[in-house]
Amino acid sequence: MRNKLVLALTALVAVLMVSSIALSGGQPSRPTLSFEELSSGHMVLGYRIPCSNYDQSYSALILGADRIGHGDIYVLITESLDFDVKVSLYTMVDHLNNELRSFGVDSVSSVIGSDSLPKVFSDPQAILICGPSTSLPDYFAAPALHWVERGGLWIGVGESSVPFMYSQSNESNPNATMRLDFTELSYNGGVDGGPTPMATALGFRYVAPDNAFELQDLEALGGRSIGFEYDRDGLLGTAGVIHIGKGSVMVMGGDMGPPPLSTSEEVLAWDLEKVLAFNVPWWTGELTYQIVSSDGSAIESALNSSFTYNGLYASYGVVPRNDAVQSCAVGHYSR
Amino acid sequence: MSGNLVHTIKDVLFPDRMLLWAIMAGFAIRIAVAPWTSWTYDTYPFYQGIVDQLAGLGPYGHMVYSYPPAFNFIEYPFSIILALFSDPTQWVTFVPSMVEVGRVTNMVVPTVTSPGFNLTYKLPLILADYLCGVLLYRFVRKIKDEDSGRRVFILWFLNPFVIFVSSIYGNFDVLAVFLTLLALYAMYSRRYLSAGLAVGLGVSMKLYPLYLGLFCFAYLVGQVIVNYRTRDDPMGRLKNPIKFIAGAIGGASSIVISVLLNPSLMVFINGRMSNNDMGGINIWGLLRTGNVLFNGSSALPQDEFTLVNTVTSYLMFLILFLILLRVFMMLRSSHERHEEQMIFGSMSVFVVLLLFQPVTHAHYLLWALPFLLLCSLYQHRFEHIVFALSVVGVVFWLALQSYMAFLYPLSVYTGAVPTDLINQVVVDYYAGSMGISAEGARIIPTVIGVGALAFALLPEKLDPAKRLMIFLRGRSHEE
Repeated sequence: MRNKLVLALTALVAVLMVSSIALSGGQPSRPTLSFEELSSGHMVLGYRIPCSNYDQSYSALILGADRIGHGDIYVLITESLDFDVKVSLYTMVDHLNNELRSFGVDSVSSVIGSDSLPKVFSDPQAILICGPSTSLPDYFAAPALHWVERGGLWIGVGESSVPFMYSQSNESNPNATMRLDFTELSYNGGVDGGPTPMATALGFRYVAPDNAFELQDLEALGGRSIGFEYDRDGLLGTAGVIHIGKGSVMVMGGDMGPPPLSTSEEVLAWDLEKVLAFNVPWWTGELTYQIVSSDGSAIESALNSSFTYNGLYASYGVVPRNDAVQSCAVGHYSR
Repeated sequence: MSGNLVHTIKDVLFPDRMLLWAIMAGFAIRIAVAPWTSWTYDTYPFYQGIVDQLAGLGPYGHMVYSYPPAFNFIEYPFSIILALFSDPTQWVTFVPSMVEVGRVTNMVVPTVTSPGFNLTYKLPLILADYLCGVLLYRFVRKIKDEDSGRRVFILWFLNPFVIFVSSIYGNFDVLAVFLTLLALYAMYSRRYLSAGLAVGLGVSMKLYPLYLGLFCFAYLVGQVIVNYRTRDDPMGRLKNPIKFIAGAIGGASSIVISVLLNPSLMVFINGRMSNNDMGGINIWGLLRTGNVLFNGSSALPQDEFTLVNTVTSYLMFLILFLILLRVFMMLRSSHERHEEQMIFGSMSVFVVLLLFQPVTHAHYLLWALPFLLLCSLYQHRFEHIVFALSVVGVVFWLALQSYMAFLYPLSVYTGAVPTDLINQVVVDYYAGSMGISAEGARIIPTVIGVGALAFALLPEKLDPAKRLMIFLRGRSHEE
């Protein structure tokens, strides 16, 4: 009996050791892509998605962009933030560092305080993410806007997350010159709402932030809606992109609160990863996509697009739409 | 040879024919409820960890699964079998109408796992329930007799709280509980390598068995020191703690390998070490309850990140100090009662941990339950403590969002209960519009739970419940 107990426990240890070596994960085999511009604006994305043990559903897409690639990602955490928001932002950094690699993006994410903002503002390739109610002092508005105009990407989640923007509840900053009003979003089971083509193409999951911005304000600023849209006594949007100079501002609704998997940091991070991988902040041209699926057999197909806008670049690739298959591939084409 | 093996396995797994009815009833109840119930907030991480595993990303592919990896590895073959019958795309459904409920309670995830998935991921837990029962039976038979063994088996395997945690709520604490119980069994039988292996394996499931490991190791080292002058083989005396620590390191090796291959795990370990919350069924929950009663606020007086971190760090030192104090008391006591001391010592390690750790969710009470049952062999009052904690554990969970919150799978996949009705009941209950708020409903179980845990630490002669019983009996005799 003495030996049997040791043997049984040792066998269990061996099984777990082998499992931890065999199952600790890595990068699943990637789809293969081929991309060609046959004539001006007429592009073809050929792709082959390897077979899987499970049902597969993928989006294949091509979008035109004026710029590709970006620098490192900085997530701003200030003392003024709610404790829960701080935790969510820290968790989001972990998500980005862990998962961006699978899209072939090698940017590194890190947390910074407001004393590091001058360093960020010196790098026009950098990305800065600010959480809801960051409420930076007004003296940051001008340098922040100047940085964006030179090429920076400011991602603001929720109200008071972009210092040069104001809303009806925050009109006191004299250097905030762009108006974007936020309204509480009654999700109501998703009734009278739906995804934009970009949200469908990339399979966004940040579907129900508890507040959203007025789409008419976004459009007045020259922005494009890329998330979900809801009709609630006026159109509301969950995510949008505004080009400013050489840079861009991406605005998102919400306060990073509960519940998980519809409004909180993990789905926010998963959507942001796709946004960054496909250069959506620099999206100026058109978008073509198709959704393909199989019972697990390999998928081999081609996506044709005829862009009328002559953007400088095209970003293309395939991304999974369900959880149990996760191989993806992204590429960029300089025209 | 194979006949012998089958006989041995049968003897180990099914040691007593007279328990057949209890075994069948216990399994039948569990299999009946497991598919149709879940706690969406905690089930989704298991789902994500399993599908990330199937997708080849490992358990931490999307950083939603946040426990040591062993449970995920144990689930893997079960999920492969499920995938033969049902594609993983059918294992989960996003239910938009649940989003608003999640916003209100912060305990509902609008993603509901399928009955097939629920049953599959709970199967190892149900088996562990049974293995715990069998081990308790064998342990008690060894200490006392078969009748007591049967009694303890039934008190465990048909205990509503045990059934609730593994088969309704669906958390895997019972796997770690089984391994800690096995470690105690091995310590009791003076098999120190096995004890170390069991503790190490327990740590690879959940981190808390580490405290039992520290207790056992301190006890073995203490024995070496105490017996220093009475034996003449100093190297031989060192064997026991060395065997134990070697076993523990070997048992926990899967964690080390996983961290080396995928450092994402460290994010969660660091996160758990710097916990930012305090409460549940422990002294902090009692403070919170006091705040609700007297100040109308459920927040603790100190909720700043750094302060809580500091308090938490000191708490860990306090817990370690109390464990070492217990070891010291054991070593000072009679050597003739080594086994009994070991059982009471292990029990008090878990009770101290439950009372003083930052957060004690109700299902954590399971950690101490088998040890309290073993103590009941020596002092009957522990059976009352087990009874109280079992009721408290179930009531506390039901009090969080009402019992309806566990029925989402039944609702979403059969329509037997309308999802909107569940949503409405959960929100009304949580907001207190049904007469009693969720916060208020947790006050009584918190007070009883903390009281029962505190009584478990008192010597029998000081136990106020026992003194009250004696007093009442005396009064009734006088009358």
